[in-house]
Amino acid sequence: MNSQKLCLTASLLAALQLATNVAAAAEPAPRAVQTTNWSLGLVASDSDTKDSTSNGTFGIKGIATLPIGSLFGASVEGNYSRTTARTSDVLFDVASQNSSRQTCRFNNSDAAVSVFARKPTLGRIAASYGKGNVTSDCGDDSVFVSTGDDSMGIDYYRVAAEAYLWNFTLGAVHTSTEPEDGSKLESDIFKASWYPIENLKVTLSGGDLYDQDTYGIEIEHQPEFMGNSLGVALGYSVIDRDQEIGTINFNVVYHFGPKVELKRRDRFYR
Amino acid sequence: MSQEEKVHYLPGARRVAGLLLFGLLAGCGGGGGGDDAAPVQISTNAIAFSATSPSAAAPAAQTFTATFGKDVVQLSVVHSGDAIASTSSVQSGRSATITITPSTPSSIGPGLFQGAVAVTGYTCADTTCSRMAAGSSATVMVNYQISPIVSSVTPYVTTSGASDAVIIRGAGFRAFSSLNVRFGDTAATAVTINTAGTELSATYPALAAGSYTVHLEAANHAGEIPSNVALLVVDPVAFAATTLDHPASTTGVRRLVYDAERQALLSVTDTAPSNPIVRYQYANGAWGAPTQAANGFLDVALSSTGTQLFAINGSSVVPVDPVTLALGTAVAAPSLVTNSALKNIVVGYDNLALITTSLTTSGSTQGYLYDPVGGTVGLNGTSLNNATPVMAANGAGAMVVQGDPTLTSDVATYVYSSAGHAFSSTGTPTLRQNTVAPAVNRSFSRVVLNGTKVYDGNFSLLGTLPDTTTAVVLRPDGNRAYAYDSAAGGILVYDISVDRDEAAYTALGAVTPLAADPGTGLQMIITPDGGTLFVGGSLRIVVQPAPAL
Repeated sequence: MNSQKLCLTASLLAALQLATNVAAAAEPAPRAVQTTNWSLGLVASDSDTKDSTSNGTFGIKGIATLPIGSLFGASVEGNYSRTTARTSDVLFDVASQNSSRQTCRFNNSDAAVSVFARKPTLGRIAASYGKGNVTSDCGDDSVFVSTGDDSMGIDYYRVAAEAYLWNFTLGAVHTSTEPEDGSKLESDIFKASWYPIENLKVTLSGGDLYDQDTYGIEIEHQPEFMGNSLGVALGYSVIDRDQEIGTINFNVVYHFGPKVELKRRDRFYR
Repeated sequence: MSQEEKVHYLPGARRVAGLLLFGLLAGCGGGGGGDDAAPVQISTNAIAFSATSPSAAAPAAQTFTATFGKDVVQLSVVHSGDAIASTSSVQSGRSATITITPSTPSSIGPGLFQGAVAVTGYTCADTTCSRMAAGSSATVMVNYQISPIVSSVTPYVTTSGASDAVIIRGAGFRAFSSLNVRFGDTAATAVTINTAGTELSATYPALAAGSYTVHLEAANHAGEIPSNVALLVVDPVAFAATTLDHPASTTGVRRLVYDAERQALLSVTDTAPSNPIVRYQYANGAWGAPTQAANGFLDVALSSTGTQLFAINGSSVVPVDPVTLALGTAVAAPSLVTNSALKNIVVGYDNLALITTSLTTSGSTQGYLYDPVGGTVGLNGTSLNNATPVMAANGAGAMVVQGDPTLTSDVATYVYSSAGHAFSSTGTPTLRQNTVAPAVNRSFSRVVLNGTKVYDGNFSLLGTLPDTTTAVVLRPDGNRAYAYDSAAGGILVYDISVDRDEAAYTALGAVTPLAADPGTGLQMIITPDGGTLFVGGSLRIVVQPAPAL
């Protein structure tokens, strides 16, 4: 993991260098957030673990972003999702007269506050704090390892940097997650996004989670015929481990407020 | 053009920095490995439980351990299948001890049951743990065998040297494949199992005298199926023709019962001042002096296991020791209608006794069921008119006739099924019962009603016996009827294996006179080997070898 932390540090320094060196070169600077805006979306994902159970997640997500002066902005976001594991993948289909196969469900809710500095011509640096809670309902006696019961609180801190380079955006995120009574989880993600057209973004990502490599690709589109207010995203990510976990994500989000193209939304509003 | 659109992405330093960032992104991320994501491992992949019967206590819970990696945030233990009642787990560090509690045998009954317990370690699926994803899983297969139970064999006494069928009762006979029956070491020659798997008919070959444990065998049952039920095989007894005296002041016989296990004859007699059960023990070629126990008895029946006599007086059931005639605790019949009394008692293969009731006049009154295990007597829900039941020797059912001489039209006859403790009307025939008790053979394939009409098991009329028949019994195989004919003054034998198309049967051979006059109000029974008739009347009991015809 040390090599990855070095990579993260170097990436953040590169992003900072990028911002520092060219800050003065910008034309009259646009604001970090052009105007207050907010979005509401539905999230869905299906995760499959090799030789284990698969599960599906449905949820709702909302985020509000507002300017703080010309250089800074802030966002508040909230999520709620429910994950249902398909225990039939691991419980044999035994004939049953009196009992049914037990299921496993997780309910997650979390909220986060972020503050960031952004030069829409250069990039963005952000810091976030989030707090969440996840509960489980799995059979007779299934508990979170750290708490010993069916609920676990989560705190997380995140720093992120993005650089805007023509039709590309490069970014890195470091997240420190502290499960209730559990060990801290440090993770990094690096992203590279490309806007082949103004309303389409292709993002490649790589990182680590639990010392396992993670990879992902996501395509986000904001169709013009929807008035630049509706975005859809489809992605696939992998946690590269012995029992590989592959996840397909599908998000639909509606943007309230300005109707702008995706690339512009990412760099001037989000 | 707005101000925000005046954006110029400058080459030079920014491009260099951007390429550096991209290069870092491309080069990083190779740090996988480590043991954080060690798979869930379990100490065993299979656990087996077994119970000796559906009524046995639940087997002790069993445990296994699971170890898991550091990435596991939540450990899920879920199960499926009837074999498992519940699971529990106790975690300690990166391991858990998981306990599987099997279902109670009585809750799921006999059979082979499966279950599965899956242990899955869930991990954070993203960096903020906003989603859970399954890590690795390990599954323990649970197999649970609950053996069938053998509760009884009926009749429990049979005769050596002859093949016949018995009814074996219990539970779970269809829960295992290819069920066979052994009597001791001798396999049954034919086995038929009912749909519910609670009863089977097994045919045994000719056996020597002795006690034979009734074993069930199933191809997919591990180990021997427990059984403590035995078939008692006794040699036929060649009773010589003789007479047995009633106690003094006896005016009639209400019931004769032959105890084949102990070679004893029991009678219930009308004897002042209080009707007794009288027992005659046969030993060393002679009948011993009678013993008796009086309690105003009206009828008696031997339990299906032979361990008790169930006697009735006018208002209660009294268990009686079949050897000593010691009286047990009487159980009163509840809600007995005014001016009614208990009349007759017969015992089915489940050892529950059917009791009919009577009035001094014509009229219907509810009967009862006596449960010796619970020591209870309850109404059976069926009202009959002075009904007379006769149970087949296999205990599966009883013929029930009813009516009173004052009736002007025939009434329905019924069959009582021991399986459901229910009465079903035969449809036809209908009749008004007379003084001749019904006769049925061991398997209920032949029935004689009112001493004259011979039916098969489906109540098709086969033929008739003379109106002068005053008592009749059937040989256990149903091929012969032995009738005491008042006109002939003795026993006449009829071949009722043939269908006479409702015509009169012709007696085989000459009449066999009895050793003495039994008197009036005859009761007649036959031994299980079919070799001896006991004819009781107001004067005495006559022991008469059955005519060999």
